Amino acid sequence: MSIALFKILIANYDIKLWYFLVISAILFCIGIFGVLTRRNLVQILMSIELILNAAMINFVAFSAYQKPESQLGTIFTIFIIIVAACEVGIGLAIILSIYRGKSTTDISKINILKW
Amino acid sequence: MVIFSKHIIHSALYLALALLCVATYFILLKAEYLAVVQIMVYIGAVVVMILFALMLTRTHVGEVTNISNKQVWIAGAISILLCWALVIIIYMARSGFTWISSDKIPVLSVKDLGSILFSKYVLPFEIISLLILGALIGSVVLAMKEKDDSKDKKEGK
Repeated sequence: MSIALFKILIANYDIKLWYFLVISAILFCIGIFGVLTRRNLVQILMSIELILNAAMINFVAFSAYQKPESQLGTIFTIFIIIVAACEVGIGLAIILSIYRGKSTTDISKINILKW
Repeated sequence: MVIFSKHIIHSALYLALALLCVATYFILLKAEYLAVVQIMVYIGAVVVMILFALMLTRTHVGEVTNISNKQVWIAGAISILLCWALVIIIYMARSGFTWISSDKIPVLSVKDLGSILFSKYVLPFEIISLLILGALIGSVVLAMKEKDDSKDKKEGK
């Protein structure tokens, strides 16, 4: 029932490419704002995840609307997902080792590289 | 919500919600495989990993973390301006984007995706698997180093 309703909704509205681009731009700017303002390292990592997701939406949208049979966007997005998972793993390991040394995850208190 | 919630655990759970919304966009773009991968990898692995890190760095869990007041206006102005400019540019250039209409996007089959991935893109695939192996070893080494030191100290005592 709900799937049929969803199909009718999808069939009646032509979803343009720039809707996805606008969503992606908004998500990207939210991520930029988070990276610039949050003070906790883990939350900065979450904001970076938002930025990567915006890039992924762009890849898939352009690929689906321009050359859907090549599946280039899907492959690129799989690679982005893998790189993002690596980045989160390494980042959280670095955060843990910083936390063991400094017992904080606040970036305004981590100033050991300052001279 | 990911950015503005004051408790960091709430922020991580809102991150899971936002990633679920991105998965629905993938379904709208007829890329079901990507939606499933998004739900499994991001919500199943990344959010759980973030929650684990929050649990391990647990002084900040109950604490309310505010957005710092020094940079928030500049950052907000920059991001709102950037968002506005991007939306304006996309809206002005939208007539160039109409290649095909949305109901003509074919449903991408996983079989074709696998055959393309292992024929044309096999070298990037191997390189990315090397990268994820390196990241795995690197994160284990980074997270375990201090523990080994403490174990050595305990044995020394």
